Amino acid sequence: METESVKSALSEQSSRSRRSRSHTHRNNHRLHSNRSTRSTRSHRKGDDPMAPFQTSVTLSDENRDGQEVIEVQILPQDDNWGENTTAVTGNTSEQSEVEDVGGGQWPGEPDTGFGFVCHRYVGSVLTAVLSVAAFLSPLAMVVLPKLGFFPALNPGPTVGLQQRLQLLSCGAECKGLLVSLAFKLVLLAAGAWAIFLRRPRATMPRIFLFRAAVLVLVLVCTFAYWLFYVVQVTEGAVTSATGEEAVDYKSLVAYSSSLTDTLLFIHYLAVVLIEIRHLQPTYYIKVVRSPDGESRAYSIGQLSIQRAAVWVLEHYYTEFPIYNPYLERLPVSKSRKGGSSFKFYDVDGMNNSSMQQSQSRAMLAAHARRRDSSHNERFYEEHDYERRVKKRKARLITAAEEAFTHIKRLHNDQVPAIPMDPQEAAQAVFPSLARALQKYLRVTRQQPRHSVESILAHLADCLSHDLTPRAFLEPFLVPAPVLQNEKEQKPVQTWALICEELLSRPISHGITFQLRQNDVSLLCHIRALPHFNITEEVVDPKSNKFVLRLNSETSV
Amino acid sequence: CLQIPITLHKELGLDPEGREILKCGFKIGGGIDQDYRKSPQGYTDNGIYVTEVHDGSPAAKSGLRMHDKILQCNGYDFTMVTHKKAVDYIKKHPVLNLLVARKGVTST
Repeated sequence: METESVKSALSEQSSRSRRSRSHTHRNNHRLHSNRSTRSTRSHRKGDDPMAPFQTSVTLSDENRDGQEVIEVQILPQDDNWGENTTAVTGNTSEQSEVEDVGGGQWPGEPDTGFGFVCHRYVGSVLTAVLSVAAFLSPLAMVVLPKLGFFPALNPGPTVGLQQRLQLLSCGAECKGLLVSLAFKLVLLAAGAWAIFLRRPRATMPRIFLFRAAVLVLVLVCTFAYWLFYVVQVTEGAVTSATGEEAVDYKSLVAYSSSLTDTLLFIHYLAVVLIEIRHLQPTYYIKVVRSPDGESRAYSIGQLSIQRAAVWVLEHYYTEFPIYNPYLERLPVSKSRKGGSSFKFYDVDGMNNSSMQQSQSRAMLAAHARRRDSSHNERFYEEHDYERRVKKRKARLITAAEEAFTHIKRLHNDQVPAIPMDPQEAAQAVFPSLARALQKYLRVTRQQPRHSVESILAHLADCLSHDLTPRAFLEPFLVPAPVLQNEKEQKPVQTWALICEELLSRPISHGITFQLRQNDVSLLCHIRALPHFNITEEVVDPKSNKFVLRLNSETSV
Repeated sequence: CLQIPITLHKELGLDPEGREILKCGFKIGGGIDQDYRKSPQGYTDNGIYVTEVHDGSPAAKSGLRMHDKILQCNGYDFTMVTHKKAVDYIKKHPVLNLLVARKGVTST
């Protein structure tokens, strides 16, 4: 972890400038092959009644290092798509392709490869090695003298056999100490397993200060104890030969027991620092997602900036709605014309120069006025779009309910029914709601997210669990959370963290950092929670009396 | 009903804030914006009624009694006024020429 490449803010900025904007991604050869097969593929999709004839989306998400390369042709919507038209109409709008970068990985963002794996696991491996070494030390300290590892203790010129046996004998107190040592080791193992034996959630660019501190402490402790131990044993053997105070086995056991105690306390400190300290909310963090403006606010405890980023990402993946890049521009119905054009006429045939000046001024005024009235267009567009979505949603729910009543009747009819398993039942029931579902998905631009197979599998699942139509429709109607999108369910997600402060510094009031991945960026602002001053207010129970407010009387 | 004429001369007094005002010494209730059904005195209409007369006040001296209904005040009709208007009219003039109706009094 200490040795890895440091993603400082500066390098992030430089890589940001190299990264190009949303829909122009670099790609490799494979996209060329996709292009050639695109026309055939759309024809092939014609066999499947569900295929979106007039909207074809090619998603090539094979190893692009976390970048989705999306080519979308949005063809004009034709409501007759349900019939078997095989023509692919013109008017395609393609995404522009940028030059081919010969098969190489995206620079600066290793998601796979040896460098990343090394970075990801070196911290845990180091921790594991150190912890195991520390854990086994008390055992070693207790067992080694008995095994005769210390030549100074072996019977020979300095130590007689009788003395050795006496030194290594274990009386009652010593046995008690051994038992307590065993239990403490078991507790330590259980504690470490419960809290620390898990896959790390995140690979962070800077060192994780608390973990490093704890590991250093463990290292120093173990080293110090071994040092004293070895010195003790060898010195003790020497002194016993000369008849002075010797070190006996009981004190060695007591010694390793104290080592276990120290390790347990270090474990306690580690739990407090790493698990408990950040639980009490101290700051308020507001996360705003950039392309579509979704935001959430949370309360967060004391963490370093990189750990706070990991925390934010956890909540992002489980609470934010799915980002739909196709909804950036609201789909305009084809009946609407474009914006009005501003015409101006040459009323008087006056001086050319002055006319040109006034013309330019008039043009500027015209542009300004057009911009002013464009908010009106946006309002009506959005209103219209919402109406269409609601209409299609209503039709979808009705169609789904009808389809589900079909399948119920099939279950209940004992005699003529051929029992079907859920997949077949799903396939039987699906065509009756296919059209409504497809229309709804098109209006909300969700078709790339749901393929026919996934919809059928989901339907089979719902049928086998006896869910209602609305429960079946839930993933389509409620596009949240982000992890619901199967394309996001990757084992490794790479985000770039940008901040002006050093990433291992703790968060404090006023810090802002940004997390970026492809087009999506999360901007996080941190503010301190106020200190709450709770005062006590005593209300006299005698003042809890009421008088009827009558027909108001006034004294004059 | 019999209209009893009462002339009331206001006296100087202190209001709760300490200023000097002219006081009559009685309380009124009712009005067309009030609900007579909620009155504890059990009035039967939305007229202005005298709900209390303080002892030794100009109202007591002039012969005003509790539960009198004020029909007119200085010529202004009090049978169809809001409560606030009634209070304003009473407070306006130093001498009040009232016409009141009293239950049970039908002839002089």
